[in-house]
Amino acid sequence: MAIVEVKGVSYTYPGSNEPTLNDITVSFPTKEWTTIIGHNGSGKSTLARLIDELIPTSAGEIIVDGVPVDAEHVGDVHQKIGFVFQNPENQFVGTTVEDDVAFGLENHQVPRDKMQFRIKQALNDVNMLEFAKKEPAQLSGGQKQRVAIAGILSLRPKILIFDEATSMLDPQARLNIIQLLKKLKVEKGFTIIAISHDPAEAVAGDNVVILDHGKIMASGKTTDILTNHDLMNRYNLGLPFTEQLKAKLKAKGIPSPEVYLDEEQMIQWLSQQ
Amino acid sequence: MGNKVIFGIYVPTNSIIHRLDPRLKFMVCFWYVILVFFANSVLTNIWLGLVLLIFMRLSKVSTKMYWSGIKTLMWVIIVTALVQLFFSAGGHTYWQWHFLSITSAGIVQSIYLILRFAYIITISTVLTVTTTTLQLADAIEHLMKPLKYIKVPVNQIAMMLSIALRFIPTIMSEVQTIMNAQRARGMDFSQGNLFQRAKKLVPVMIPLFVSSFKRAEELAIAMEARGYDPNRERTKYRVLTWQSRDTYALLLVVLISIILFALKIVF
Repeated sequence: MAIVEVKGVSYTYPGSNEPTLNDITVSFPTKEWTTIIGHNGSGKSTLARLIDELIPTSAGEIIVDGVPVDAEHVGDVHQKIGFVFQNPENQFVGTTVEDDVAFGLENHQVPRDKMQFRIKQALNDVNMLEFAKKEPAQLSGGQKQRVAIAGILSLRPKILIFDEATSMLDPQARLNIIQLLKKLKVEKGFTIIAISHDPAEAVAGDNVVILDHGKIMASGKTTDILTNHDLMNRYNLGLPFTEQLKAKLKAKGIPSPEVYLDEEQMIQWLSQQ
Repeated sequence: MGNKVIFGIYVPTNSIIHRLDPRLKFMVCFWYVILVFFANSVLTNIWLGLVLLIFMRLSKVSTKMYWSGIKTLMWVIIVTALVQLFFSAGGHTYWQWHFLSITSAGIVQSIYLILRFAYIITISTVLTVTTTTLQLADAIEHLMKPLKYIKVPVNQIAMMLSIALRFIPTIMSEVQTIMNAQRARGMDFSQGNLFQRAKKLVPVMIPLFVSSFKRAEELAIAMEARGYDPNRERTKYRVLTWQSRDTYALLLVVLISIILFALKIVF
């Protein structure tokens, strides 16, 4: 079952001659993590924004959890989708951490007595409860991104969209956020759509969609796409670490398994040789 | 940059004044300023000064903090007082030269003027050292509420105010980054006269404006994604609760005002 259906969507930015998205049809399976990878300007952010009705769809149709994405249902769509943006600083609205989490709840007119519980719960889910009274200037980029995630978790969405949400973080903070998302996906059953230009980030997900020049070039299971070296090289996407290792082993005439292995599985396989 | 503080910054001593409702503190501060203009005799001025001293004591903030508030505006006070001293007429004339004169009335008036300045600055400092900017913004929002009936967009103004407060540190650190980037390219901000220095700030202001507009756009989209609609009612997480101590404090202020007017009428 697909929770997000995109059918024949095209989009051209006002004042631009070239369409940013050209007749896109793709679906995102329920409770799975799909990563959209592609270069800058491939249209991946535009696609994410269209799904959340942050820019109006001009051609084609998008359905989110049974609701058509249009001006009339914009409130419903925002309720169902939690969106985390790239820059941690520019999505922090509140003057303190708890105020920021409260911002979305205030918008959705949640009564105050329920707010306190939901803020606490959301901050607890992202391990930021002890920072509730802190101001944004006192937080690191990774912590701000956690607060942004708490802010959308408190609204209890079904779908989480991450638009290069880890690209401005240091490697450790990035890893922590990816671990957190994995945990949330399993524990709370979220559907995750992550946007990245780094295939290494796609490793954490179930499916991969490759976008190039506003067109879908490939989509399928992560293990199938990332092991397809021809495909990855054709779009200059670079291979995840374990696949690079396999390619080098192959060049030296050492056979390795065809299936995708993450780093842990790779270590296990290597130590068994 | 921005290190000069005129009316003092928040000092967390958690005194009784700190714990009062910010709306009350804001209104009392405003009311005190009005009272200052009613005080035109020795007794009324002494009374207001006494009240202010009690406020300062209760706030548990060092006198130095209050003094620094007056110090920054010292020149304004001195110049205004001198103008008052030399240009006032009435009473006994001690000294005269063309249109300048020192009269007994002028001396009294300029002393009152100095006191007024000192009182107003100090009461504002009492407010700002005992109340965080966030509380002040909340108080202003609440006090503006009646303006809704004359179609003033109070909610939007309050949102703008709170976002402005939130982004002050962000913009300040951005200014530092841009200035450092310019310094790394050989710019020296400390050289030259006032005009030359002001000119050197142009290459700081332009990138700052560009990035601020970009920031504003991203923030607007992020707010929209989280369901913000400026025209819809929102619930509030941060609430101000009026406590019994606020009522007592209000009664005290009423008493202070009655005594002031009594002093004014009787003597």
